[in-house]
Amino acid sequence: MKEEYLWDKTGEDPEIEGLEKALQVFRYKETEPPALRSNVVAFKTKENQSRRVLFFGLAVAACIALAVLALGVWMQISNPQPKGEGLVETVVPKDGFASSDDLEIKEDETRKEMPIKPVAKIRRFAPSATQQNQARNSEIKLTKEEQYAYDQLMRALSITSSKLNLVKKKV
Amino acid sequence: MSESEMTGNIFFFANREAEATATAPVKETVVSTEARLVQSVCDGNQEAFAELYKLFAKMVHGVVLARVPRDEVDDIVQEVFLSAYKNLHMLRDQNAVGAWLAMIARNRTTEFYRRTKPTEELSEDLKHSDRPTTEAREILSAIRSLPEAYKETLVLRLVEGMSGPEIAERTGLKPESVRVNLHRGMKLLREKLGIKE
Repeated sequence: MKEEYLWDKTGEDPEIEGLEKALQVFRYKETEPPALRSNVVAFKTKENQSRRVLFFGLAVAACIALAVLALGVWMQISNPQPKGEGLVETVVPKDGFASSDDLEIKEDETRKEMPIKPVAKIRRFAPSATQQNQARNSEIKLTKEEQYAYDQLMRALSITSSKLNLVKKKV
Repeated sequence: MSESEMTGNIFFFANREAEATATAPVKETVVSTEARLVQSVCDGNQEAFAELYKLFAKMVHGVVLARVPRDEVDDIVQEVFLSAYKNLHMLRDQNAVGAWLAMIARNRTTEFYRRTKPTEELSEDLKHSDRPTTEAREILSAIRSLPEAYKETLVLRLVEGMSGPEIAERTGLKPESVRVNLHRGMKLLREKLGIKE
C-alpha cells in the first residue's frame, strides 16, 4: 500500500482504487438542500443577542438587589437599635461663641462682653453597626483554637506576601 | 511583615494583571469562508445556507453512512441540516461549523437507533436501482464494524472520495489525526477483509 495515495490521492494504489470503485455506489449524490420555510427560522441573531443582554442585565440587577436586601436584614437582625439611640445630640459652642439666632439678648447687655454660652446644636450620628461590632470584637478574647487559627492564617499570609515580594523584586 | 504590606503586594499584582489585560493586543481572528457563510445565514440569507449545504453535505453524508443503514442516510442528512439551520445562532465559533455539523450528525444517528424499533433490514438489492454488489456491501459492513474514529474517516476517504486534508478541513480534525486514523483503519480493514499486504 502506498500511504501517499491513501492520504492525498497522489500516485497510484490499485488496492485502494479497487475499494473506492467498489464503494462508489454508496457515494453521496448531490441533492437539493432542505426546503426552508421562513416561519421555521427560529433565529434573528441581533434580536436574540439584545434579548440575552437584557436578561443578563436583569439577572445582575436582581442579584444586587437581593444582596442589598439580605445585608440590610442581616444588619437589622444582628444589631437591633432601640428607638432614639441612633442620634446623639451634643451641645458644643460654635466658634467659641453663640450665634445671634440662638441667643436671647437683652438690649442693656449688648455692651457687656458676650458670655460664652454653649448653645449651638450639632447633630451627629452614633457609631455605625460595623464600628460597634469591631469595637465589640476587639474586646472579645480569643480561645486557644481561635488564636491558633488566627496565627496560622497570619503566617500563611506572611509567607505568601514574602513570596510576592520576591517576585515583585524580580519583576 | 505588616498587614498593610501584605495587602499592598496583593494589590500590586492585581493592578499588574489589570494593566496587562488592558494593554494586551487584540487577538486577530481569521474569518474563513465557512464563517462568512454562517454569518450570512444568520442574517437571513437562504442562498448562503444552500452554499453551506453544498460544502458540507458530502461530509455529513459520510458521517451518517458510517453508522446507519443506507436507506435512512438521506433523511438523516436533511434532518441534520434543518437542525443546524434552526440552531445556527447558538454556534459560538463560526470557523468550527464543520466540526459542529459532524457532531450533530453523530447525535442524530444515535437518536435514530434510540427511536427505531429493532427491525430486520431489507436486502439492499430490493430497494435500490443502483444495486451495490455483494462485495461492496461486505466492504461497507467491514468498515462499519471498525472503531468509531476509523470507520468515519475511512468512509469519508473510500466512499465519499475525499482526500485526507479535505477530511481534516471539513470535520475540524487535525490532519495528523486523520492520517493516523486512515493508516490504522486501513490496516484493520485489510485484516477484516483478509487482504494480505
